[in-house]
Amino acid sequence: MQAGILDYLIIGIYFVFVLAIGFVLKKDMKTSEDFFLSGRSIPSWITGLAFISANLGAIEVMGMAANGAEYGIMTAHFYWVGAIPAMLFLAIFMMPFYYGSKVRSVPEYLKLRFNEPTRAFNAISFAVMTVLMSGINMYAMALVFKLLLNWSMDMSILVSAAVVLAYTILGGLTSSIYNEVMQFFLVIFGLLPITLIGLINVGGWNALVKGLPKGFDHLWAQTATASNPMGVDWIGIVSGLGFVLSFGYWCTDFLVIQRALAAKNLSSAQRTPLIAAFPKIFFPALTVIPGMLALYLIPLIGSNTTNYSYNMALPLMLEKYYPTGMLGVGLTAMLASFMSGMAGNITAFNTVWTYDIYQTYLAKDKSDAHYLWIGRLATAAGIVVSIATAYLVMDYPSIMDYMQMIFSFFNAPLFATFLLGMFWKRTTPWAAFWGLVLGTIAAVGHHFLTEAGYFHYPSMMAANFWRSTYGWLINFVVTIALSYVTKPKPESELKGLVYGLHDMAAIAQEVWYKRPYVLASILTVMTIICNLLLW
Amino acid sequence: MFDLRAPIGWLFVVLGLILVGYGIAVPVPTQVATTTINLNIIWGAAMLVFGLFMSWLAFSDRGKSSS
Repeated sequence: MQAGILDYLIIGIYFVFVLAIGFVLKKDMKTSEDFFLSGRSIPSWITGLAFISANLGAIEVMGMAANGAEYGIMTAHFYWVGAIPAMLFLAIFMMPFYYGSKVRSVPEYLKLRFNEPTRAFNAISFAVMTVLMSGINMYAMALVFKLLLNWSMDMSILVSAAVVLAYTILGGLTSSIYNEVMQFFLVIFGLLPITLIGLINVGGWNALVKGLPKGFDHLWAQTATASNPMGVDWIGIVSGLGFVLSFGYWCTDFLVIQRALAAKNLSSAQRTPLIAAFPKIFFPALTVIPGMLALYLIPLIGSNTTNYSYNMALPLMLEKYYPTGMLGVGLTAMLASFMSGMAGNITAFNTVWTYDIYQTYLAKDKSDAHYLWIGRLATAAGIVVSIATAYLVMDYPSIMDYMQMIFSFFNAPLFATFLLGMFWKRTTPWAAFWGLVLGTIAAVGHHFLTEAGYFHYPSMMAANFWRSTYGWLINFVVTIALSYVTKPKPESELKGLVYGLHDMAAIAQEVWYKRPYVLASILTVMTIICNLLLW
Repeated sequence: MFDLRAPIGWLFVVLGLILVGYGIAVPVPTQVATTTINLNIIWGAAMLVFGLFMSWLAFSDRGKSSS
């Protein structure tokens, strides 16, 4: 089914709503804090859904479906051993420091806790990472449009860039957050029928997995060794994905944390990842299962032609089942997910650029209006650079491998810095700096040595998991060792920044069902049940 | 700032109406197990109901905080 006029109309209506939100919010963007942090005034159900939606980009929608077709239900490890535990940890243990210290960005926390060089290193590496990531979303969108609308890659990249540019430059973070929430619902409504119709047609879950390669129906049963679809044993999964990559991403990536910082108080900020985690638990049904269905229903999938690569699993399912009308909704859902993934990166980029690089090193003590203007300029510049990176991604066979590679360079080592910084007050500023630098170099070095043939792994994903573990470990060990030979900050400078030197009283006053510990306990039980059900 | 549930409601009402209307005007069967369904009508109706629900939430909460 190729798209018809009605499908274009549906996409057009969606664009009108997205841009209207940007225009309406423009009058509220008076200060730089409004633009970058939404004036810290947004209710937690909105920040929670934006938290999940900023991450619900091409990687989640197309990448997870691609992995579902390639590795089966083991892909759900990204959710049930990866994302959910990390989101709980962020909410309960780390958010009090992020929100409580009133920082405007993750690099700014590093400055307060450690020193200026640590912040600079993180700010620059984060800025590089966000533009590399936002290019993935444009590339993915171009792939889908090429298949279903027959647009050229250049045309769809430019159209998507123009729309994101318009609404983020007008309404800043609020516009981005509001659109992310709208996109969340569109993604649910646009993709759910695929899973429902597909499962009914193949005769249910049991019939589906009978028709798939061996091992596609279990999460853990075959992980005693690496001879399973993913090529990683349980140690690799738990350490590389569960601990380092997921915690590194969800607990330190400013893209998602920025959504929580926009909340109106600490307990709302803590609830943000928890509210996000409830729908997130069920996301494998929207992403992984359609990928598995694609493998069953579309015989050519996985062959090396562009139109039948694993990345195309979900678009091909849309094409198979959706008539004109629903196809427009499905396309809008994918488009929405790519735009939210891209806007998320761009709003995080403009904040870090303006606060942590421009205001800190290039132009101190300018007026607030000046920084607001620079923020808008950075938004435009970020999008232009993203267009260039979109073309860079085209050289990689799988967007998921590309993304996990980038995370393993930047986020995985960084998590060791945060873990030690927040929970061990002896960690010294220079130890943190050198640990982070060496951990990052180790991860990047490992990648090039693997490329050169010095290390061998059964799959790209296995290499990503182990690279992350090494990068984290080297940072962790170096930081601890150097902390014993360098001078720590006095405790008076660490109030509110380190465990044991902060005030938790503010959280205790909520009704029981809003308390972070209660929500986190419910989520823990649900996650364990998911793991056991598909053991 | 405005209540976000209002524009979400409107968007889904508009999209739901379009799908139901088109589904009635140009029925396209989608094979589901041994039967066929009109996906545009069924899912359009679901989106319409959701849109009305969000609009109603926004309408009934006018003037109050949306938390």
